[in-house]
Amino acid sequence: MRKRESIEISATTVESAVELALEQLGRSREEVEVTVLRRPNEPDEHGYATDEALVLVETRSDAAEAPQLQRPRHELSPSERMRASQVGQEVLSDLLHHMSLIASCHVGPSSGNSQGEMPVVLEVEGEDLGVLIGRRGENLNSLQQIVNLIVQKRLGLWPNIQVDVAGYRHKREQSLESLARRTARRVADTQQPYTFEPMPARERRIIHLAVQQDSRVYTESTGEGDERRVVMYPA
Amino acid sequence: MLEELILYVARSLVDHPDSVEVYSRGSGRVVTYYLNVDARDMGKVIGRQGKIAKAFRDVLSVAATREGVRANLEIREI
Repeated sequence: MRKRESIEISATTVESAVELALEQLGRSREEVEVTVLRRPNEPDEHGYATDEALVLVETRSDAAEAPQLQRPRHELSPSERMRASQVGQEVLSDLLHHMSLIASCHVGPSSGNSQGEMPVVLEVEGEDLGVLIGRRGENLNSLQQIVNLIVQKRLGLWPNIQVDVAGYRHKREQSLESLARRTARRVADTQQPYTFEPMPARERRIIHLAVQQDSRVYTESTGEGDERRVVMYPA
Repeated sequence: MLEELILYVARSLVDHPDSVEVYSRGSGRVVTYYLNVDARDMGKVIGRQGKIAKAFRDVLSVAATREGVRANLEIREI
């Protein structure tokens, strides 16, 4: 499946709608064109007044050629996947060995993620791997980034490898979803906004999606870089 | 061991692996590693907003923890 290249999204302000769209597309502000379809409090196409902004965010045609771009422009072909998992496994084994970890890795079953991509999953097994996961999975994310960069260098394509330890990523996803639902109940009950801990984009997306259908609350991201966090508001 | 890890990662990321050098200074619990790369390869090991360097340092810190030391990584161009 091709990665989504345009998205229509509504939120209370134009700015927050654009931010949500960038998060879902995994793009930066420079890589997209924004069209404001409706400003808050403007009547929609049926003439009804609405308090939500609606924007169309499209990836710029030149963005895909940007040299710093490291995201897949298409799904890997079966033979590319095969090579990515072989080379990825080799690179990850070398890294684990050089990191003095007593661990091995194998190719795990792939399940589609929230963007409809199918990452190549490499599962690490071994002793005392807590340090490899790190606080909120930070070390694991860093190891995953290094593996992807090295494999990209060798194969000339972005391999979209996901590194996991003992099912950590799936457990983390589930615990974020249940945290989001519990928080939604609390925000609805107290009518007070709630600010989450800083999270990487993929984890913020899980929070946004978990309560997207919940009409009692809405979510926005705020802050920059490593301090970026989700805020949940009563609707 | 940590030096080998740094060499492995750096040489795997750059276009000029023969130029990669690592020196270490310090003894005991805190060691600083100086990684020298070709000037043209600085972006390859540092990345946008230092993202690759951060990932590099995280991976190094996991290995250092295993060895019971703290490791700093300084990246310089030749």
